[in-house]
Amino acid sequence: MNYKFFKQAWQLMRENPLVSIVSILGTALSIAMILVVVLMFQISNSGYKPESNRNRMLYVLGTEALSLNEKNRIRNRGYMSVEVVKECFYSLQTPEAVTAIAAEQKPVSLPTKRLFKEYAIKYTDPNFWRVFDFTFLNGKPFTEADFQSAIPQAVVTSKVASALFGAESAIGKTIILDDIAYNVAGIVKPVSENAQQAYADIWTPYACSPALMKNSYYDGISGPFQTVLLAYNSSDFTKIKKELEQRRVQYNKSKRDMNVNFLENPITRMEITSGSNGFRKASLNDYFLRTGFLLLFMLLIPALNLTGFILSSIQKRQTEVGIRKAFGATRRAIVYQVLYENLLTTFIGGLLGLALSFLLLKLSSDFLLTAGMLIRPGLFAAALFFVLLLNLFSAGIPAMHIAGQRIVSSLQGSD
Amino acid sequence: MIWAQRKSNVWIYAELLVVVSALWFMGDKFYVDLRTYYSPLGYDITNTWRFKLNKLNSQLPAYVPEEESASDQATNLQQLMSQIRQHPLVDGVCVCYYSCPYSWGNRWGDIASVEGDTSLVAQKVFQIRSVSPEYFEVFRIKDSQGNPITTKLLEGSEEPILVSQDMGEELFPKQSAKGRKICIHDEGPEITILAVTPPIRSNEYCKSDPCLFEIIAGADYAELINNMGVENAELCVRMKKGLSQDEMFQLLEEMGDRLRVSNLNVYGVSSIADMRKEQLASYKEENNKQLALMTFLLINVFFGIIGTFWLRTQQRQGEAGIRMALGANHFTLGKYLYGEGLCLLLLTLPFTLAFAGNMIYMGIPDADRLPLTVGRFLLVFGGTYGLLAFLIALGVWFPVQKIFRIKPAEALHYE
Repeated sequence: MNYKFFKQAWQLMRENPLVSIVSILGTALSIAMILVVVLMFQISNSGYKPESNRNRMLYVLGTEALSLNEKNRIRNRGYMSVEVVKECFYSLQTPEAVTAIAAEQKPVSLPTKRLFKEYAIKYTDPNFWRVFDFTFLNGKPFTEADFQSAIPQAVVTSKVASALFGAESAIGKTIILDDIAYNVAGIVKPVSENAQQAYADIWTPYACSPALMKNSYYDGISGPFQTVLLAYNSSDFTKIKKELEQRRVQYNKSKRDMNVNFLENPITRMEITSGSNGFRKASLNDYFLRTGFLLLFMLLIPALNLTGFILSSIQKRQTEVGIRKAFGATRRAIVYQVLYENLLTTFIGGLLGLALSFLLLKLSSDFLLTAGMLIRPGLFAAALFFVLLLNLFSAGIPAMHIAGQRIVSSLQGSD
Repeated sequence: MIWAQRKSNVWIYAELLVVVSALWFMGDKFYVDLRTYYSPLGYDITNTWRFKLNKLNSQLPAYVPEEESASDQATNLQQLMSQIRQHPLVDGVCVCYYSCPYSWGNRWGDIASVEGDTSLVAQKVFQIRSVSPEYFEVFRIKDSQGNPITTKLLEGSEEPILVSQDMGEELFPKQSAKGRKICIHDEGPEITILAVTPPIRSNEYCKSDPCLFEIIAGADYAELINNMGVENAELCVRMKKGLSQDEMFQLLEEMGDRLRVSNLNVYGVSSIADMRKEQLASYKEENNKQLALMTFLLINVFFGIIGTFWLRTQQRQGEAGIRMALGANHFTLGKYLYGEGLCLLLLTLPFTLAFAGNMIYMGIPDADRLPLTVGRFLLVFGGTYGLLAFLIALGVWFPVQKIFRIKPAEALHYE
């Protein structure tokens, strides 16, 4: 049955090439725009290297220090100090791993030559390499022992390695950061800026930076760090939040002037995608409503075109439909026939749209795109879903219209 | 004729209705952005660079122990500036706090006019920019009459204070602020305004913030530098010619020790143009998204018109044939189709006007950055209709060409 419809649809397409082309292009454009929105969501939300476990991560991206004196209240919103990291986070038992990260842009020099080009630096701890899964091309990450004794070890991307040392192997070589000589211990594959928490050009243990260790103010609470917590399972999130709250209360007991709180943190990846950050929580409902409305808009506009086209061309086939009905075709069969016939156009358009969406994304983004970010089952499911939906929107009304006509008037070929 | 074809027209009409409304709304925001973007900023950042300062790590051999360094921080900074100024490619050097263009930094304080109507600006806070006298030359800021603000003028005055034009208007409505007295903070001394600068905007997408320039010079110079911290000073340099980032790095590498005075050290450099790019990125992204959506709508209208009119001319080839046989020339035939398309567009007018009126009534279009005048409305609304009319004409053109190619005798066959 389907093959017959397919042949029929092919004939119809050839009969009116211009309208077919316009329909296919319109569909392709609409599907491409929708898939760009889906891709953006996917890139922000789903896990890929080195943030493969995003669905198990909790983020503390903002910290508030609040004075105990209620009369003359001082409030500082920023990040946390090493002390808070140690007291409230490293002591947590429920998560699989907890890492603290301070990000900066700094120039890196060679022992023989002072350089000014700046790189993205992440000062972190050994747990970082457990929370995130980097691909090491050479060497290894800095270890707990390195960290405890503040041995200056650095991990760099292969891009940085070749910029600084050319074709020579960078392992074991020295780089100068903050006037401190670091030994290059590992080389990793460059990562996309979209893996925001993991992304950098160079990673070093923060214990090596006296400036960061000392960087605390507001009663030792505020500082340069954010934390990422990796749970064994996302079902542990509530438990982790509860434990963190206990640590916080415990820690605050030791404070005389100010108290720490983490505002709406920790937040999940989905919350970040929907617009939350460390200091402001966005409503998930609003996000879905807004995105849903946009997607619907991008479907409905081309659907109006297609409905018009299909209605016009179907008028010509009234007699054919009338005959089919006269010979006993049900209303349902007619509706399916129209929907099926139209599927060919929508499918070709959908495929083109899928290709076009990659192209549009590539053109509109200046960050590194990897296959792991783009090619995911969810994308194809979304493409198929929106193609079918568009087909239903555009051919649905014409199908009902023609199937609902009386046999006699259909046979007469009048409206 | 439109009524006779209502069945196929209703879809394209509905589409036009939605598209006109959406395009007007987005076009209006775009117009405001464009006008704001191209209005004067008040300063010029061509060939300017921000030099980043830090203090030498105490573990380095070059470190001068605090007790041994004879000179104070402020003198060191002055010395560093004059060393940089000596480079043949350097055009000018200045320092400022929270006032480097595109740095996100800002500082605010209470300011009151002494002579003006104080009730107007009681308790009002204004942005305060602390800058050294060369600032105006480095960033090419002229006074409101267009005369350059020279270091000579500023150094000749005892306590030079400048205000931006919009601040002057707020403090002294309808009079010139030049030569008037104000006081900073509640009980500060009275200071005379030396000159008025044009309004200063922090970036291309914002409107201006009324601001006051406090000059870092004379007796207060050392005190201010010590209070604010010498390494937090924004050291801005204008070069005589445009340099690429690599050329600039090269230049700094060549300058070597001249970039250090005692423990005060230039550790990095950023082109202010790059800082601008970074700051404008999110605005640009937002605008690109909107442009993509607008293009999407326009293409859809174009496709819709082509398809609808193509199918129509096909169905009515017989009629066209008769008309041609009866002597109607190509012009009259085309006229009907063009007329029909444009009429459809005009018929949306009552609804779109109601929509626009409603939006304006609710205060949704941006009237903050650009007043919502009749002219602006007519321009954007008229522009939207003009653009659509053009697209419709283009869309009708294809089918019309097709009719012309048919010979009357052939066309009559269809009848």
